[in-house]
Amino acid sequence: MIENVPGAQNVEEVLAHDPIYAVLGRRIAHPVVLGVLLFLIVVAVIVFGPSAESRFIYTDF
Amino acid sequence: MIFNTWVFAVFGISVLLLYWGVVPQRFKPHALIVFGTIFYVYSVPAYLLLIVLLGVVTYAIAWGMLRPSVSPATRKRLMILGVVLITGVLVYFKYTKFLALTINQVAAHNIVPLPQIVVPLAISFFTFEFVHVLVDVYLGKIVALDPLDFSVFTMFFPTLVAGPIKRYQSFYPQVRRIEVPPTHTFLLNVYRIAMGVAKKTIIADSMTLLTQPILTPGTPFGTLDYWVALFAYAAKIYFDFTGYSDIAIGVSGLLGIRIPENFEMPYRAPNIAQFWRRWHMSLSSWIRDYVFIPLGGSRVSKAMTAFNLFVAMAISGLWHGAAWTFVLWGLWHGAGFLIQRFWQALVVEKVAFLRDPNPVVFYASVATNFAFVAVGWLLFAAPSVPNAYQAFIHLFG
Amino acid sequence: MRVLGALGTAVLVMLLLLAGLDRAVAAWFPRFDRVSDNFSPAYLEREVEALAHDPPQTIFIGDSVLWGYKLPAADAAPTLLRRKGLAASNLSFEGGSPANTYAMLRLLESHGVHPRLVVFNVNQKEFSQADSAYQKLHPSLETLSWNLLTADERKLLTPTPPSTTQKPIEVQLDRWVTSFWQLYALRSDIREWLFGDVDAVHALDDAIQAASGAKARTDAAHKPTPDRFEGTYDLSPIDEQNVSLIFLEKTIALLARDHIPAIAILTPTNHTLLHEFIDVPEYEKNLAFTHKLLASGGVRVIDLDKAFKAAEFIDNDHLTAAGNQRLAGTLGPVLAQ
Repeated sequence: MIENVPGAQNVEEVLAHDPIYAVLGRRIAHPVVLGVLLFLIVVAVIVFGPSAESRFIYTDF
Repeated sequence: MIFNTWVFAVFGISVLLLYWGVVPQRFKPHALIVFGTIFYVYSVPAYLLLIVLLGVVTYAIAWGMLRPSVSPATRKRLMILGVVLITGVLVYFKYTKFLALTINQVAAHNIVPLPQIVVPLAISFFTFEFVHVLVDVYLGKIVALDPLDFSVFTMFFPTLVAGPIKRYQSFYPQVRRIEVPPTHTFLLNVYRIAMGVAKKTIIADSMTLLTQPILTPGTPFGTLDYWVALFAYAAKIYFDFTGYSDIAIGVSGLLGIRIPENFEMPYRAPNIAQFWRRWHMSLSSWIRDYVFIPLGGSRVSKAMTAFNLFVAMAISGLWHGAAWTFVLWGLWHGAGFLIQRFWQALVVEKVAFLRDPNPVVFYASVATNFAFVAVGWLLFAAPSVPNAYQAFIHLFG
Repeated sequence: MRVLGALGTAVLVMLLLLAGLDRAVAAWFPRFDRVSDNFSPAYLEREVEALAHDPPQTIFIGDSVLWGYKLPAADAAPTLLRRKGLAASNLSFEGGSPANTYAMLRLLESHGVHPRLVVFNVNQKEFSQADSAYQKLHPSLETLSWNLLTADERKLLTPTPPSTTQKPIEVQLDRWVTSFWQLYALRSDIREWLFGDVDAVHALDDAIQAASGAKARTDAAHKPTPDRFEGTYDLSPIDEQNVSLIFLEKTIALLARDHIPAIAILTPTNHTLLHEFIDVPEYEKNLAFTHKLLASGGVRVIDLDKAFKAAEFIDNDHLTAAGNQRLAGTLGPVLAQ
């Protein structure tokens, strides 16, 4: 998961702890690879998302 | 404007194209203020006045404190005035109804009429940022406050809805040096936003159905359903808020501004203190700096430290929602801190096996800590304290 | 600018892949034995357009009874008839009513669909104002048919209230995205096709509730006892202001105008369960009135009101799998003529 890494200076260092990033490495930032990933994420969101949409929990505070 | 909507997608894409393609470098900060205003007005037009007014008041008081001629006593009075004013506004909008309800409950009949107050979007977040600015100016941690920088800080739309709660010192230097991020960094931020949406939609939203036993009392659920609900809620709140934070941090990154991270694998924390250093970090550090330490922190007697911890955690709980369930949730974590301290002093220090780092103890600690946190979510999620108790009985009874 | 170029490339790759997937969805997404539980306007439109290009066939338009409530699609009577070689399409859905039947026929008419035969069911409970579909169209049908109805017809109906969570601009934006993106527009149908339930998490939840016993407890709590149906059937005489009657009359007139042969099924009703409420002269009078109205309009009527035994019902009117088999057996010879 994408989380903070203590002392990380940029998003790349943070992403170094992301399992998908770990597999694909820097290639994730290649526009074509990113395009494919975005496609997969969009399709997954549509197919596996629930029928009921909801707000973010913390925006209701 | 909520992140997981088409409107935000259209807004975000338009902003990016304008920001990097049209707006001249020196007007980028101004553009951020305009974008933030549109973003906030879209949600609740009427309350734009509130955030602007509170921003002006905060700036004016801070400006007063920063004048070289002002005496330390006046500076202190100004800080207290500002903090009381800002906190008062937060209390009025968020807690008046809760107070009225509590008074009526104690009196056993309706003495106070229940007010119909709409809580302004993000009030919990921007008031905490204003308090931080006032206190840090007072403490000399902020030595200058530029109106443009402060306006961008206040109206920065990626963090306007639910944080992360920013710190002025790390934010303002970036405002005058906005640069296009390196291409790969820019694209990684896009990836991070997409993953944030996926976390929110696929996991967090899906978990809602499985958490029904906790959310809707009086249903025909059995022990298995309650256990599933417990883990589902732990997953839901984690993926919901980390998903949100990924989007907020990712969008900020696309605008060339780095904001604080909010999570650091909190469910892998081996104890409650570590958990709070890694969960909603921008809030827990705020509570540490502006509640726990001013109360005396841990530089006082053990009894007072414990008291300070409980007060800080109760306030943190109450910040999450105006209900007794949230106060108890805060106290549950306060109790967790105490248990951890006792365990450390009375057991760990005396048993070599526990004291020396080893994977068995580490993973057992992580599992125990996670269980403690997960059961605590019952108080956070349940509609009332009796409901939380009922769920607890179903789990362990 | 290099940054925007790279972002543009990524977005372009994503859009090209999505466009390809949309083509695949348009070409290969199956037509179901019946519309899904939560069917989208896009699916209904797709089905109606397909029917316009198919040779004329029998079209079932009804409520949950003909849809096959609580049963797999394969067990519903229209599916059983199709399996026996009847060229048919089942456009029934949960929440049907005379108003919905009429709106569906208007939709078919607008697309130039001319069925060989229309089979629709008339359920006595739907003449009651208490029925949830009395003057409400299914939201997806409403989306497609609202503009086809006259102002007077619309006045009789209660439109789906505007979303409380979405602003009008968000609803418009969603409609706009839906208009060109098949995958998004068909998402509810795709989810049901993949997971056999509303979505993945509902399928998972069903499995958990079956394992925990919660499902059995829910079923026991919702066991159809007579008291649950008190007030379901309105026994006062059906007057000319009755919205269901008005739409039934309009249905009959439309079928006659378009020269579409039609069969109306008077819905099987569980008289054993509902004995104390409906075995009264008032009910019989309303049933006879409906029967006469349909027959006088040239619609062939199959009266199944008392044709089924209590054991063939799930509740007051929905048939079990065995009940559906017998319904298919009853309809088969008539439809073959």
